Amino acid sequence: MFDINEAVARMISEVKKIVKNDWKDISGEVTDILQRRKERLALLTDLYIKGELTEKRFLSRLENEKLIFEAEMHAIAVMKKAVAQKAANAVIKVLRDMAKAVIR
Amino acid sequence: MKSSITCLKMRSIIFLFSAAILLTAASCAVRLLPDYDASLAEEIVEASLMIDRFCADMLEFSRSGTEERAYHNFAGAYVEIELALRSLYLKNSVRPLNRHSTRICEIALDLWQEYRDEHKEDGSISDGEIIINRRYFQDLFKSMLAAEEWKERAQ
Repeated sequence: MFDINEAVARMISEVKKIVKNDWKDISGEVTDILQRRKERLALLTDLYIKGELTEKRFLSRLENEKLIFEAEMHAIAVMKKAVAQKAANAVIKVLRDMAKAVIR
Repeated sequence: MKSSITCLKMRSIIFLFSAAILLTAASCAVRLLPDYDASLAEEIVEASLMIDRFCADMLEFSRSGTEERAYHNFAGAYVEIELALRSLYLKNSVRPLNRHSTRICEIALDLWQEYRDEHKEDGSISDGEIIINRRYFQDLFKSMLAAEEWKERAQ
């Protein structure tokens, strides 16, 4: 007999496992991204102060910085989708395996 | 008592029916991202190395404000790198469910063209510009590669 409560419990457990493991990595990536952004801004300011960049170039690179950050946010979006895809497929797999067992 | 057993049976039947539908649909699993492409990941690393080498060579073998740093000495390398970036953009843009990676490649291509045009217009490029450009591309490629590698984890 198919037990829906057990099925749901297993699904939740699978999703929790996936999200727990992957979330730690995503969180690490976000920390790295913020650290890299800090370093880029520090480097940019330093080059400008030392006169190795003109004001025009400093301002243009400051604008570019937004694009680099946008790219990093796109990478994070891919990571989040990867976790969502894995979790959704794990749920389907639990359901499929349990339904198959009942049908047999 | 009898009605609760009937109700339970009904729930099981409905659930199994739903499961059967899901099983049919299960062959097409949930897809939010394209499959991981190892050759594309390799191409990202190669393009990244090309730009890194280009910047390192410029800093090492030419001096700012001299003829050595003139645009025409680097025009060929600019074109070669632009082609590598264009190839990455094109290959990413034709893959379904791939708008994030496509946008990262588009940003890289746009910035490369902007920096090339600056060098061309100014005739030269300062060490400071090379250093910041190099850093920007290193971080852009990190994002590009991370996005590709997480597609493998999604499978």
